[in-house]
Amino acid sequence: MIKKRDWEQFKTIFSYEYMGILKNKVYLITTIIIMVVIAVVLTTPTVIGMFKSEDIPGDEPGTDPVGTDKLKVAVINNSGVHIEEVLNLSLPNYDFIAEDSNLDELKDKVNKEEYYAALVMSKPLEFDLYVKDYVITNTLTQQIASVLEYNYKITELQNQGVSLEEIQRILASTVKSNLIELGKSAEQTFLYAYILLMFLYIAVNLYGQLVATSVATEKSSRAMELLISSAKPLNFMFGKILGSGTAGLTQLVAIMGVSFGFYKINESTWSKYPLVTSLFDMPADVLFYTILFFLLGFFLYAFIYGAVGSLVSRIEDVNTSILPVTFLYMAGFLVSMVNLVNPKGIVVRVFSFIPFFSPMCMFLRIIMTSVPMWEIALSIAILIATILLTGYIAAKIYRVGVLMYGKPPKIKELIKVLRTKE
Amino acid sequence: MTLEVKNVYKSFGTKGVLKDVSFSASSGSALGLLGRNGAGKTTIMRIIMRFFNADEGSILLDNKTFYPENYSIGYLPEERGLYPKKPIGSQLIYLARLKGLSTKDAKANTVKWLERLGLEDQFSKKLNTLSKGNQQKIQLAASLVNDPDIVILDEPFSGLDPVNAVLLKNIVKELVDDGKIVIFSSHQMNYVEEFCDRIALLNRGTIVLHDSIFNIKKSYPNDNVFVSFTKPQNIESIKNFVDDHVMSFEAQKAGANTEKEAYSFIMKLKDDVSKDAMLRMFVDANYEIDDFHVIEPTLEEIFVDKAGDAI
Repeated sequence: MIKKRDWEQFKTIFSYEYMGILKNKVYLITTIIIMVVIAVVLTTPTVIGMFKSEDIPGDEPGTDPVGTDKLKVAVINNSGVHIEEVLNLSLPNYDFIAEDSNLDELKDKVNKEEYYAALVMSKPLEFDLYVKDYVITNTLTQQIASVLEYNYKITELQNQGVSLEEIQRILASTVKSNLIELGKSAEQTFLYAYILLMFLYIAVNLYGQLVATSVATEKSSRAMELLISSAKPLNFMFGKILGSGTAGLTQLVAIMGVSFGFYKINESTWSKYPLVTSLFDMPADVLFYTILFFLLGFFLYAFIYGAVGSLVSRIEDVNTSILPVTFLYMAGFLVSMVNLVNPKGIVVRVFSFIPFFSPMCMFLRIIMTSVPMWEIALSIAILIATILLTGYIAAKIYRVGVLMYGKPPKIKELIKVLRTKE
Repeated sequence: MTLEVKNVYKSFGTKGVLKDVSFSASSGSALGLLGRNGAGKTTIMRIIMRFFNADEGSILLDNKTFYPENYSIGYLPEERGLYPKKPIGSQLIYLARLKGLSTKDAKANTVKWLERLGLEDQFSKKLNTLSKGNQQKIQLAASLVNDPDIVILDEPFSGLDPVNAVLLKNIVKELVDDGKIVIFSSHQMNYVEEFCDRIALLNRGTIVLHDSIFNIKKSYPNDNVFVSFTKPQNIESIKNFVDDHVMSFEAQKAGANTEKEAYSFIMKLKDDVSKDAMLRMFVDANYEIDDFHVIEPTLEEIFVDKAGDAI
């Protein structure tokens, strides 16, 4: 039974903690900076668009180096097929030049950037390409390969007596296909899954650690004894955790609100970018699950962080003491990040039922795949049960921990504490 | 109201901290809980506040189990501290609210206690901008901001200068006059003696003495008399006179540090000789007497006597 006095104390502590965070300069400034950055990022293209007339189309940057100067590629051709001309015709951005010098000299020239690359052909369908620095967006290898392949096919078919027209018709034939997804489109959800996971990770960590630091501050400033002589330790713990959680939620809603508002203002500019529109057109249930899993994850970890904070005597010890907890949370984050491309994998499925990881892993599954309702319900039920149990244990540790100074207690002593009755 | 600590035992691990501790404190009187460092004073206070429970024994208020949360309590912990970076006024209002006051009363009481302690102009200052002594006073205000019925102060005098110590003494006297239960701990015996009615002496976890100071002192023999002679009369004649009456009392020079001490004696009365009789002997012999009083043992001496070692 919650007594009236307890409720009053809880409310007082809750609002003191909540207002304390809201009035905190770092919190305020951080929130404002994030909101301003989002506003600026979302508005900039519109502003640029006002000054620039519609000369943007066709200006798509290519993946290959473009410019007036052609890139020179040296060719050592031992294949017996004359290919340089075909290459020069097919790849107009490059200048393929036959060279007689040996490979070592050419390598040297590539290193000195006299040549962009050196192509060494030993057989009609085999080549080595030497470049100085390999850039991941460079597709020269594939381009040369396809030219060689195409050229080879034409030559071989011509030798078989097939007419050039016929060959071109056959080689140009393509299959028309449509992929109709009945579940969720990974392509669309990928970006916001990524962003929301990131966000969940940072928010839960940030506000959880805030709880730990706040408890440890009260202990290290020796305010604790006076405080718990004024109100029940449990009211303090819950008031503090809910206060911090609500402050987190406030920040979250504020940032989301600003993002959405500025997106709406600049909607016409952004409508050209499907990646961005997918982020803001996210279904309402995704928003709901974001907030739900933020709250569940936060409470689970805030209880642990609160208990850990109560065992620390000095504020400097907070960071090292909460490290194992942070690692635990990080594990769930990493599993979900790694499996962004494979949200149906068995690892994510298993992890989505383990309470310390489920806030991230089940969330990932929900937004990227179609999860049966009973699985979601089971995962959340396990999570809530764990939160209640953790809260109970944390409250016991907190009660004892807040008055304990000196070196942190050993695990054995903690278990003894947990066994004692009120 | 009477707060009673009854047969309390407490040990941490294998170390027994309190052994069969019993004492009581009633409304309208101050109880001094005395003892050396580590005697168990803070532990017993924390047990009264239910920060942890006794292994055995009970805490009763008017013969019923005492639950601190059901009463208005002012507790000054041994560990001093509040939020160093927050304004003083808001902290005190917060604490008063936690202790069950309405926002309005909390504000009024905060202002009242800051005025009483002469810190009314510090309302919106941050705690860590104050001097140590003033922080100590804020701590006291934090304990008393709810106008508690039961006041428990752990070492309230430590860190206070003599002027502030007098201020605190007056506040405690007021609390006692208002009919509050006041329990405080100290190892500064001189303060305790001045305004405490009753003491409980704690030594190595056991109560060695629990009574009113008046009774305690009465229980000690009062046959030591301090006699000081007015004029530098012939000191030899006094000595001779004293020697002549060796059957009645033993005399010792009180000391030689001051002029007064040179003419003062501590005289121990022998059996069957009363103070009156001794005084009459001096008067009859025409000695002029400046000072004549029974020497009472100080609390410190009583403590040394009871605990067997010095503070």
